[in-house]
Amino acid sequence: MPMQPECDVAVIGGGLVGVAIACGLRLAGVNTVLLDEGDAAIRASRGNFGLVWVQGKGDLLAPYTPWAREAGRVWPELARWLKEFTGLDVGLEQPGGVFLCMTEDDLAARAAQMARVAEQSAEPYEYEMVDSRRLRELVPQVGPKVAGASYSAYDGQANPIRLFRALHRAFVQLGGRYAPNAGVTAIERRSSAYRLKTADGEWTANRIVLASGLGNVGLGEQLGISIPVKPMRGQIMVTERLPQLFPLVMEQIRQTDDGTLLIGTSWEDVGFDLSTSYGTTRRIARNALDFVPMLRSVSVVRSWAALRILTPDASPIYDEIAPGAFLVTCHSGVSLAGNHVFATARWIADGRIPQNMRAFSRARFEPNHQERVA
Amino acid sequence: MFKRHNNIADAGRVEIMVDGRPVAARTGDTVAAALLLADVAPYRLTALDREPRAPFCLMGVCFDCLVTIDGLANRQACLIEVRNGMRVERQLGLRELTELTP
Ligand SMILES: Cc1cc2nc3c(=O)[nH]c(=O)nc-3n(C[C@H](O)[C@H](O)[C@H](O)COP(=O)(O)OP(=O)(O)OC[C@H]3O[C@@H](n4cnc5c(N)ncnc54)[C@H](O)[C@@H]3O)c2cc1C
Ligand code: FES
Repeated sequence: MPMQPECDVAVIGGGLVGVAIACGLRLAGVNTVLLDEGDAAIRASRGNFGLVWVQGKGDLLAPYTPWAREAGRVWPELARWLKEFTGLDVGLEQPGGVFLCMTEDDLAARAAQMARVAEQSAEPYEYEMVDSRRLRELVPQVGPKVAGASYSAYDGQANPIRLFRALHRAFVQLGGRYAPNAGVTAIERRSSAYRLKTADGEWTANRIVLASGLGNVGLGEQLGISIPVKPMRGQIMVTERLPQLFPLVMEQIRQTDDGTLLIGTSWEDVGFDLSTSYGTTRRIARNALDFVPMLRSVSVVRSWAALRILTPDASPIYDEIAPGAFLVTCHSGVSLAGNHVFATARWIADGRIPQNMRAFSRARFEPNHQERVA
Repeated sequence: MFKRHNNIADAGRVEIMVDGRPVAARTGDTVAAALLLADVAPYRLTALDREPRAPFCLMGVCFDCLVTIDGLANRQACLIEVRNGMRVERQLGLRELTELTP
């Protein structure tokens, strides 16, 4: 006989998004189980670039701009708490960041995008478009072919794998129950509770959180609701370890606290294909040499691919899609981690969605939706 | 500490330079084997914590045998055969990037 434990909330999906929500629910004292698949699952949280990025976010959905800024502001509190509570240093640094633009056209397009974002921000939005000369004052290693960049003091980076581990450790230390190898295969609504069939027995929960990344599409079908996310592949290369080089974080190349450089990245619409390809890594490497010519003498030791979880406007979805069934998904799960632990989990705990999360409903993708900002 | 096995035929002698000091080796030796036979210690220090390390797997997977060979840093010494006149430097900590650091 399969067990049928009771819990108040079942969070489905143990990637960065699900575990952040689950931690926040435990902090709010909610009886929470985290249902996850096994080691071989598709997981953006294991393959991402680790930027804690703010600048430019929200150009397709205005309310994402203040939400991303808030995320940058609460991150230090998250890092401090994780260090104290789990002993793990997640390597947060927020020295400011630049988005490099190779050509004058790239630079003009970026300037227009940043102006749009700044204009729709209710509070002052500090950024600077910098030309090649000023850029090399900011980051002396940048090559002379690079036309310029957008700079913002809001941006930073963290160690995403350690963040992932720290959140999982915190959740269990907070008394949460983590169930791996328990991918949810069916969801049934029974009067006021949900009954979940998993690969490892059944669970009933008063409320559920769909936090399964790309797996949310299948879970949504169980509830008769279509969830507009699709995979977008990104390839990343990692180099040998080097002395710390850059005074700022670059969107295209960053150095980890262990000394390796991460070089990205591609946007490839290839479905669930997780392989790396020679053509793309070659293009990434060639661009990287133009961005930072000194990389010529640096060896790449590995490359990998991971799948982004992308909505049509690249912004998160926070929505109660059925009574007691919450959907949480986003592309920037590292950057938004602090918001998810504190604000988003509180919404699920008490059922009242705060004003600054209301614009992220799934309804904005319906054909007749008026509030859509395009 | 290490001894050369007597059953292996001598394919010829070469000399490599290790940190500027001549070290005798044989054709077909890997750089890692030559350094171990020459009792070079510490073999290397890790990049971040500067812990002593020596070749561990001797088959290309652990990256614990890293040295600088002919000016190129972080080479896997267990995968590279010695050549007469080869210059090998131990890496005591992080590789440097001096020649290219502005
Ligand atoms: C190449 C790349 C670079 C990126 N760079 C950055 C960056 O620099 N900064 C940033 O902020 N973000 C970045 N991201 C995005 C970030 O990685 C994701 O937003 C984040 O990892 C999403 O987490 P998630 O938990 O939603 O999804 P995932 O990590 O994919 O996790 C989904 C989880 O749900 C589980 N699951 C799926 N189906 C089920 C089911 N039926 N039942 C139970 N469990 C299920 C899976 O096993 C998995 O554990 C990047 C992503 C990629 C691909
Ligand atoms: S000894 Fe393991 S890689 Fe060389």
